[in-house]
Amino acid sequence: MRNYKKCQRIFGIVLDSVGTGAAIDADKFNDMGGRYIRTCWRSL
Amino acid sequence: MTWGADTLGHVGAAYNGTLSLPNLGQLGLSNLRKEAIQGIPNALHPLAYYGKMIEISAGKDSMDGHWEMMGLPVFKPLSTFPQGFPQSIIDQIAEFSGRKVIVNQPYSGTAVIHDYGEQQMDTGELIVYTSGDSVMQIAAHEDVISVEELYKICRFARTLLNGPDYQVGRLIARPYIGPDKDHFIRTANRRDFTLKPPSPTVIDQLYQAGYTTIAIGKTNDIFSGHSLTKTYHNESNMDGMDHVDEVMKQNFTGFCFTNLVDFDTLYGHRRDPQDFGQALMDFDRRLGKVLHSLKNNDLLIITADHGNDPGFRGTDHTRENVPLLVYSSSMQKSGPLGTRPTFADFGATVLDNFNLAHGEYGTSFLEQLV
Repeated sequence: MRNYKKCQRIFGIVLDSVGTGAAIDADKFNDMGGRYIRTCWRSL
Repeated sequence: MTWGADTLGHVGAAYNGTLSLPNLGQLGLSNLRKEAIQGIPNALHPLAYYGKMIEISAGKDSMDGHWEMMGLPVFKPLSTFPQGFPQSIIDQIAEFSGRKVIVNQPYSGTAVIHDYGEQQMDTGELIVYTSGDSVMQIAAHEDVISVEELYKICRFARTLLNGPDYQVGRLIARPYIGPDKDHFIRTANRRDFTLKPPSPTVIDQLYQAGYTTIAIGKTNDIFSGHSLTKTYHNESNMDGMDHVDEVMKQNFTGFCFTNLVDFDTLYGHRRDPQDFGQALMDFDRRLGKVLHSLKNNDLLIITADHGNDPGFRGTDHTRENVPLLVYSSSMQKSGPLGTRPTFADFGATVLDNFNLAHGEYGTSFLEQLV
């Protein structure tokens, strides 16, 4: 049963760049020399 | 510092236990983590519902992070240019602007104006550079190339990077001021020209349904100004919080979407954990006022778009999970929301609140808020 009363206003605040720990696939993205970047370059 | 990216963890570590975030802490900022942030103990009774969100988009940039939050993950990797932009692109920008293009390689934004800014002032050339992300940045001194001319050049360059050959997430105008390389400062006239969302976002849905949609900060640029009732440009994080305070006094029914970019631009890319932490503490102080001002029928959702760990190698964003804090003074309970499988859960929840059906991505956590 729903107890949540729907709100009139929603305030979303994005703290840009305030991450909280590496994603499980971070190694594909977090290294400038990594394979992900090279794959993108080859795909152009 | 460890090799694994962890923006909040490493900022806390840099402070050796002296980082003080009482408001974020009482909402549950450390509770959502495996290990508490140094200086921010787990709240015994967190005020908010708390969790983390995982990004499913193929990137770690603001655009794909915000788009995914609003129900539009980006699965096709956008173009990156680790060796600089193709000469054909550079030639077209030079021909349009009548100005020579210099640099054209990955570079730190502050270093590039230090190294090439004086030359740019002397010659009126355009400094074009990129990073590990899908972005073209064009820097010019405001006294040499007016902000309006720079925007005009950027608008043209944007048309070259919308695909199909090269699809770039963001093109950023980077005006700067100052007398010499040791005193150059990038100004708040930065402007992001983003790829247009290829299909409707949560913001579009809300707007079309007649709800008020307000953007504070670069969220306006990230969604190309689509479906926004009102927009506010931020000069800084604190200016952004002034706008939040102003909007909170307004009577509307809908969604206000704020981005605070100083963490990223001023401290993350510069790998400056001390000032990053100070910016978090400054935000936390302002958050206290927001929590006090929230009405009973308001909902607050605090999150992030990616990481930018000041303890990590390089100067680029870091792909990280992001915090999720959800609070309303009307909630009777609080507790964990778990690890959400996509940022799109945020947007799905917003739509659910306003009785709108959400699309393919995201699951509303509204039912868990009691």
